[in-house]
Amino acid sequence: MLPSQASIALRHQYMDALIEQDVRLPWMEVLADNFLNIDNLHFYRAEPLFQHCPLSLHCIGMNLGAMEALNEEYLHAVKLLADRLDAKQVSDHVCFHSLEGAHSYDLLPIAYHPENVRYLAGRLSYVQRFLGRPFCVENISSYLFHRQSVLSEGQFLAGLAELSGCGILLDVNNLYVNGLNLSNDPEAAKDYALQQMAELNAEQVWQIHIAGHQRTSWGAIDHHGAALHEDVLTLLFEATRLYGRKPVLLEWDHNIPPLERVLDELNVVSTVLSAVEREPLGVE
Amino acid sequence: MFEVEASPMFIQGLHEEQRCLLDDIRMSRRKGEAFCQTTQAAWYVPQHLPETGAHSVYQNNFRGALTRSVYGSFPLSSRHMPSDLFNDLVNDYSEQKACETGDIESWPSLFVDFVASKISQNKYSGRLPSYLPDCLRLEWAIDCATRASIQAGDRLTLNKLQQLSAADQLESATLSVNKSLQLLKLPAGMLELWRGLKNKALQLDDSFWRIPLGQAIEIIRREHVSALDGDEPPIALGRNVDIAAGYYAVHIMIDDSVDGRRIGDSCMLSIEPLHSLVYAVLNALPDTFCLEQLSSRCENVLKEQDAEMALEVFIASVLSLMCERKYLCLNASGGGCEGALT
Repeated sequence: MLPSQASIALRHQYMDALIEQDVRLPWMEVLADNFLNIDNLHFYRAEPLFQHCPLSLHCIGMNLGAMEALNEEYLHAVKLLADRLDAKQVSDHVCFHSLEGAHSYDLLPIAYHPENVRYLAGRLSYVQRFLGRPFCVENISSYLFHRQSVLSEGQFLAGLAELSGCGILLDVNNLYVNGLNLSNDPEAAKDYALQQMAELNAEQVWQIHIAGHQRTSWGAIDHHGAALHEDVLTLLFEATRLYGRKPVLLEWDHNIPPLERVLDELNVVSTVLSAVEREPLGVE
Repeated sequence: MFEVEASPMFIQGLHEEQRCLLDDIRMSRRKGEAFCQTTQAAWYVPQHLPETGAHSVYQNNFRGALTRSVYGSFPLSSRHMPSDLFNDLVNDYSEQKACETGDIESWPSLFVDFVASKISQNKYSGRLPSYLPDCLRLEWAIDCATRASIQAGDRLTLNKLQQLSAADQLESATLSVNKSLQLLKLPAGMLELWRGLKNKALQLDDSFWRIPLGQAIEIIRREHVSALDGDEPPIALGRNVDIAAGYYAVHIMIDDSVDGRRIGDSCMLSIEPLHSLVYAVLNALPDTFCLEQLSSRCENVLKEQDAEMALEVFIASVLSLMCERKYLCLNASGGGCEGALT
């Protein structure tokens, strides 16, 4: 089990700072694809950090939504790493990124269709069984939407969790970005995110991600390269109220600031989580 | 747990759509192109969002991933070069060398040859320094070495070493330098260079030597390439190599400067000190060796350097250092030694 506290993802930009300053995190997310070749110098550099706290292994390469067979070689590598690190959870995304070797290096949207729930649930279930560890999937941000989507994003995720027995890694920033890209209106975007969140129950949500995004004239780009937007913090507050305390991860992938600033922002996130607990019961 | 198959027709339909979207993202050369008809029929872009805008986001992400891969493999060169020039190089490379697999880390492998060919053709208005390919080669060797796998199960750690019985196990064991260091034994590599890269983000300090990149590369070539080629004897250690208290220390500072004026952050390739005696042993060991060979090499080095140190103590310190740094693998099956000591 991961502790229901806020933490950060390991990034090489502040890896040395974490080691040198002996920063103790309640848990940490490790991007599996950076360490699939377990025994190299890159792995050894990070190894001291792997021993301090429970780890969540986050993947980007399973290609779960692609209309082709799963990559067994990749899954074996992830399993080897998960076993080595004794990862408490493994996760990937509800998307596809490549087909027949042609790669987009991006997370591409799929159709939110009942047939696709069945297709993906079978794959998720297989992956969880193969890894022998709790496996959850993350919702993505999108700039395109599939015409065959007859289910809402939230309904789709809930269906996946129910049919596969896997968990949902709910990225509230991604929900908000999708809402902005669908409406270009912050209030409508918040409503969109809240509607999707309402489709899921506490048992289905295993982890929550938050990050910064870039607002554009037409919506938003999910670049994980800015401070958290106040609406995203509001959504985190609402998600915690809805599902209870969950492991929360603060992500930075671009314009990564010094560790001190990341930790400062983490404190803000922890304050939001604490605020939910201080709120009187029964308040709607 | 629940497991059913979706209908083959549904899968086939989405397969075709996914293939078209990927082609749209990967193949388009011009920015602002619309999606192809199949993609448009399968996906929609919200009305307020320009379709070309959505296309551009995915296209930019695709190109950005490739670009980051090059910048990640050549961190020093990319910071040293004027950013517009390096960007142009990377863009031209991505136009000409399609990435055909998901293995994005290997994609920059041809970048050095690409840059070298541009220099020989005097492209980019002659703005590419002649030493750039050497610098890129060095960085690529380091990148490969950092990613190269070490034989996990066989890795000899300090703990393992302490548990080995000297008489029964250690003397009959075959040791090998791990693959990543074998790579660094290539001419442009070397142990210290990898370790130097690890510290490249060190703060600038007056105690470090400041050497322009071109000169630094020249130094590396003279110090290591010539010596390993055997064409000419190694030159005497010059201003660039500081011998203090029996340690080698090479510090190369890479400065983003124009006409002597600093225009950005500095970057440093700092070579971690390594005892010269240990270095002499490591530098001469073959990839695979036994304790007897190590012992013989240690004895030679002590003699050559006229060092006053007990042989056993020296062997123990070399072994400990290599195990502590995870440089060694132990071949439990034994089987004698390969390679010859010089």
